[in-house]
This record gives sequence, structure tokens and C-alpha cells, in this order.
Amino acid sequence: MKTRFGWHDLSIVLHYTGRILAGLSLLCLIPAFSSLVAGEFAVAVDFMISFGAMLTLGSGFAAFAPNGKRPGWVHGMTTAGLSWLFAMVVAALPYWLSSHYNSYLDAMFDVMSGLTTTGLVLLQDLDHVSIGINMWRHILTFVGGQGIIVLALALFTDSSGGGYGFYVGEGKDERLFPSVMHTAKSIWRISILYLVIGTMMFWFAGIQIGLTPIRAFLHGFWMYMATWSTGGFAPMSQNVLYYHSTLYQILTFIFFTLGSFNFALHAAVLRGNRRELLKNTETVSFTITMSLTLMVVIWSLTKLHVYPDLVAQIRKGFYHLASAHTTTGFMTIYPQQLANEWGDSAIAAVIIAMMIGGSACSTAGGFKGLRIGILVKAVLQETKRLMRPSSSIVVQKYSYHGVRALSEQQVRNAALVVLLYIAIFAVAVVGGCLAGFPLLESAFEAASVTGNVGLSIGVTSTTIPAGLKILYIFNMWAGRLEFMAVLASMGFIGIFFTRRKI
Amino acid sequence: MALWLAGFLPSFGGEPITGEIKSAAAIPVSRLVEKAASFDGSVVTIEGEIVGDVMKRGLYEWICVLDNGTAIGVWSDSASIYHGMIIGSYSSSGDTVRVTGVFHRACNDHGADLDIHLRTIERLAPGTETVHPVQKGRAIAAIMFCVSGGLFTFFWKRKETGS
Amino acid sequence: MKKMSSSETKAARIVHGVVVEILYTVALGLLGTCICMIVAVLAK
Repeated sequence: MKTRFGWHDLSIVLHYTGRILAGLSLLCLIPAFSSLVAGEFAVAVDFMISFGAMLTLGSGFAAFAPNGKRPGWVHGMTTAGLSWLFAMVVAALPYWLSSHYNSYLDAMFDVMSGLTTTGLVLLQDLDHVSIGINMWRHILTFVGGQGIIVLALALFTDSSGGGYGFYVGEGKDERLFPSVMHTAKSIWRISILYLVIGTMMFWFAGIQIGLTPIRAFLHGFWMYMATWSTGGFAPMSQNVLYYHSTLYQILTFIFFTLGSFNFALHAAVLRGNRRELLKNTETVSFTITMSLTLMVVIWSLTKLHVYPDLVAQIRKGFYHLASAHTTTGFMTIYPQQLANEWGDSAIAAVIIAMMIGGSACSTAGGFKGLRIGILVKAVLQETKRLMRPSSSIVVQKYSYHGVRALSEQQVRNAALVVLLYIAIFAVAVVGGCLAGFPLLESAFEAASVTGNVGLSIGVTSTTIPAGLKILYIFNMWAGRLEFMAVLASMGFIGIFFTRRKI
Repeated sequence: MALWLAGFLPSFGGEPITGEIKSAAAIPVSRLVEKAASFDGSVVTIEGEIVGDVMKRGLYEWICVLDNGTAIGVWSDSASIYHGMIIGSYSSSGDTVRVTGVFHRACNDHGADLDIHLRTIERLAPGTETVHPVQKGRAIAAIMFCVSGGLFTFFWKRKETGS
Repeated sequence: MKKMSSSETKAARIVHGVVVEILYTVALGLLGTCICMIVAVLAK
């Protein structure tokens, strides 16, 4: 049966995109309120402009696009893809109004970086930024980590049949419960639980290290949101280095590692199934890949005598490797130090760690540990098949919330997504080289962008060509949504405008 | 163990009396970071604006100096820092200071952080309040957008309940 | 002994789960520290 998309399909997509944008506009009220409390009245006005503009656009789409037909799978996926792009455009308005950006493209770059929990920054003069703007930056990364669609599903309980399509379009396919609405609410409950615990711990740590109670609370709240979402934003330009604190580093390590875990794993452990932490394919694969890449990093740093002692190697080498592997992007060294001091083998190991990333259905990016686990199991299965008589049937099992048999379809899906990640990574490497950067630095930044990491070796800056910024925005978007929504959006638009049938 | 605790205990012991003085003129912080290895252990001078927070840790404190877009942490005993420091933020530009101290590429006392251990600090210019007035045009735009958002939402909800 | 209500049991399970997860990440941190120690010695 051939498919064609017409105005009615477009109106469904625009309607739901409008609902999501209208919901997103409500988030503007949080920084508007915090600016009012802080006496930043001009900033509060900017956020009210943004709130009104987003609400107008969102409710305009929702009002003028009819909602007669139930959304299908493709509508859900296309809405997921397009709503992220619309969100990028409109959520950049407060940034633009703050005068901390050289162009609207830079502002959109930072929005996409926040929503995709990448963490690369083009904002100018971060150390003089208002409380309102810092609140907006960190809220975007916290909401983006969970997913703007997930937030919409959790809050707007219109039980449309296309709910699963919206959910999967945002790079999640794990159902914690049969109902996707219930799953979305559970994800938010887990995040809010840890938000309370984490903010309290960071607040306490902030007071210990010499911040005033109010500043300690603000920094704690923001740093927790950036940590759990594996976003990597920080309220000061020096990032985590600003705090000069072992305690802050330990807390960020704990919460960005937790943030990189699958929400289904959190749900299982919080329900009492603690063994899943040890048996789960993702945690096992994460432990193995982190250990292997860490060995390379420490070997390289030791050989080059980069750091004076073991404690320094742990606080710099291990911390940055963990920050890379969980796709957080926190740094306690300057990007120039990474480029000048770490050596090629350590940087290569960090690139591999960034590309592998965290767990599926988490706030982390990268290929995901589950896909690596599946592909490794597939290799084992093939090896066994070769060793045994041709007539024998080889069943490969893996542990993922129970023991499961590996299927050809799973292997194919995992391989396809990994291949697509590598493809857009390669394009970004070439883009960086064309912009005049050395190969290893281009590869590092490309991995950081594609895996939604946010570590920088010095490539990302406001002076890079606009084409490279757009390429990086595309990679952040595609990497975060894991391609399905991106392919659906591009296919939908292509079919709609060419009026073809497929 | 002592080094591990460096994150939340004050640093004990002073700096060595001798240290190569690289230059009496101020060095841009970005250059210090770029050429960190060559400046490591030397006495350097930087100029910049105080931003962020003064983080007191026992008898010592951290201040943050911002020089043309690159910030650096400066560690000092509290007695060496002058009183009445104006710190740069959204609502103020901080004191412009001249800091002389020992530069560390990977400080032994502070978990290999890149920092300066202060010897002297001099205020070159006091900080000032930064005013951000509410612009009339933006205030009107805010009201107009909020009204239009409200109207569109009303129209949308009425259409939904109607259908 | 007073029997816990289902909400108390649920709260206890959540608290226990949070503690276990945090301890797991601490264990990962210790594993990483051990790897750093061993590799640093071997590399010298």
C-alpha cells in the first residue's frame, strides 16, 4: 500500500508541535520568576516576551491545525523531530534578548546544545550573565535530558493513540509501564526524586567550599540539573574547575554516572531489584568500556608525565574520561590543556568513550552501551556458529531486565544506528577539517557533538564558520533523537513537498 | 591523603621564596593557559576583573580573575586580600586588579588545578554598578505577546471544547 | 513488631534503592581508582 502525506497529515503534526511549544512556553515563567525575585526586572521582561511569543506560536499552531484524526506512528515521530527544531528557534529568543550572543544562530546553537544535553557554549561573558539566563540554560538541559516530548506526555494527558510514536521519536523505546503516559510520568518522578536529593547534597557542598547559602543553593540547583541530565553546563565560565573542590567533583561524578543509567534500570532498582545493577548488559558494557579506555588514558598521561602524582591523574584523567563516557562534558582543565598536554592516544581513547556513550533511555548520548553489548554478543554468536556444525542453531542470550535471546532484528537495528552515528561523525570530522582545524581536534569535537558530550578541545567558538555551526546543530539533534525522528521528519517533509507516494 | 583533602581543607605551607619571575608586565591569562608548561612554577603578573565568588576556606580563600574572556582561580590567605572587594556579576563590574603570584600548571596542593598562588594584589580600578533599565519598547512587547498568547490559547481551547 | 503499611514499604524500598545506586557509583569510582593505580605503576 502506497503512502502519501497531505495537508491533513501536516496539520496533525503542526497541532501536536503547537501543543508542545505551548507547554514549553510555561517553562519561561520559572526564570521570569527567579529574575523578579533577584531584582533583574529587565530580564524578567525579556522572559515574558519569550513566554508570550512561544505561547502565541504554539497555541496558534494548535488552534489552526485541526485535531480530528488520531496521530499515527509517522505523525508522532515527525512531531518529535520537528518540535525539537521549532523549540530550538523559539527558545533562543531569551538568549538573543540578553545581548550575550553575537548572532541568533549562536543563540540557537546554545539552545540545541542545552536541549540535547551536549553542553557546548557560544554564550559570551558567562561570568556576567543574569540569574534568569542561567536558570533558563540549566532548565533547558534538565528538560531536554528527560525529553520535551516526555514532559508533554507526562503533563498533557490527552490519551492520543500516537503517544508511543512521540515517545520513541525522542530516542527512547523503553516502556517502564504498558502505558506510555505512565512511563513518562515515572521518568519524571525518578528525576524529581533525585533532583531533591541532589540539590540538597550540592547545596551542602557549596556551603562547605565557601559559597554563601543563597549562591550555594543556586549553584547546587543548576549544577545538579546539568549533572543529572549529563548536560555539562555550569554557571561560571571555568566550568567545574571554578569550585576547586574534591567534594564537588565526587558529587558530579556520582550524579552524572547515575544520570547516564537507563530509566528502566532506575525503576527496577527502586522497586527492589538491586541485582539488575550487576547483571544488566548496559552496566556491564559501560564498566568494561570505561575500564579499557581509562587504561589507555592513564598509560598515556603517565608516559607523558602530564600530572605530578596519582591523585592528580585520578582527579583529571579519570574524571574527564568518566565525564566523556557518560557524555556529560564537565571539565576541570582548559580545552587548550587537553589539546596541548594530553597526547594523541589519550585523546583517541576519550573520542572512543564519547562515541560509545551511556545507556539507552537515559539522559546520555552516544551509540549507547546496549547497542555495543548487542553487537559484541552478535560477534560471539557468529563465532560460535562458525565453530559448530552448519546445521546447529546457536542462540545467544543477553541480560537486560531478564534473560533475552538475541534476534537478527535487534542486531540489525543496533548496527544501523551505530552506522548512522559513525556516518554523521565522519561528516562532522570533514567539516571541521574544511574549516581549518587539525584532524584529531576535528575528530574530538565531532565526537563531542555527535555523542552529545560537550567536552571541547578548542574548536567550538563563536568565530567558526556558520556552516560548521549548522552542521554541529544537525549532529546534536540527530544524535539526541537517535535518527528515527530525524529520518521520519525528513521523509515526511520530502513526501509532502514532492507529493510523491511511497 | 593530604592532597586528596586539598579540595576542602586550606592549603598549609607557604610558597618557596625563590621562583623565576617571568615578567613584571601583565601576561594575558589566555597566554598563561596556552603556554602553561613554560610558565609553570614561575612568578607571573596578571590583570583582570574579579568575578564570581570569594570562597573562604578556613584561613584561605579563592578568588576568580577574568581577563578578556579567560578566567583563572587565585588562591590566597585571607590576610592578603583587601576588604571591600566589589565582585563582578550581572549587576556590577568587579574591581580591576593586578595580581602577582606563583603560577601552577597542575597545582600539587589543589588536585592538579591550573591556578595562581597569590603574592600581592593591587586594586587598579574599583568596580561599578551596572544598570540594566527596563526598556519601554520591550515592556510593551511583553504585554502584547502575553495578550496575543492568551487570546490564541482561549481560541484554541474554545475550538477544542466546541469540537 | 508493627507491620509496615504498603506506602511505608514503598518509601523504604525507594530509599534503599537510592542508597544502593549511589553506592554502586562509588564502587565504580573505586574501580577506576584501582585501575589508575595499577596502570600508573605499570607505565612507569
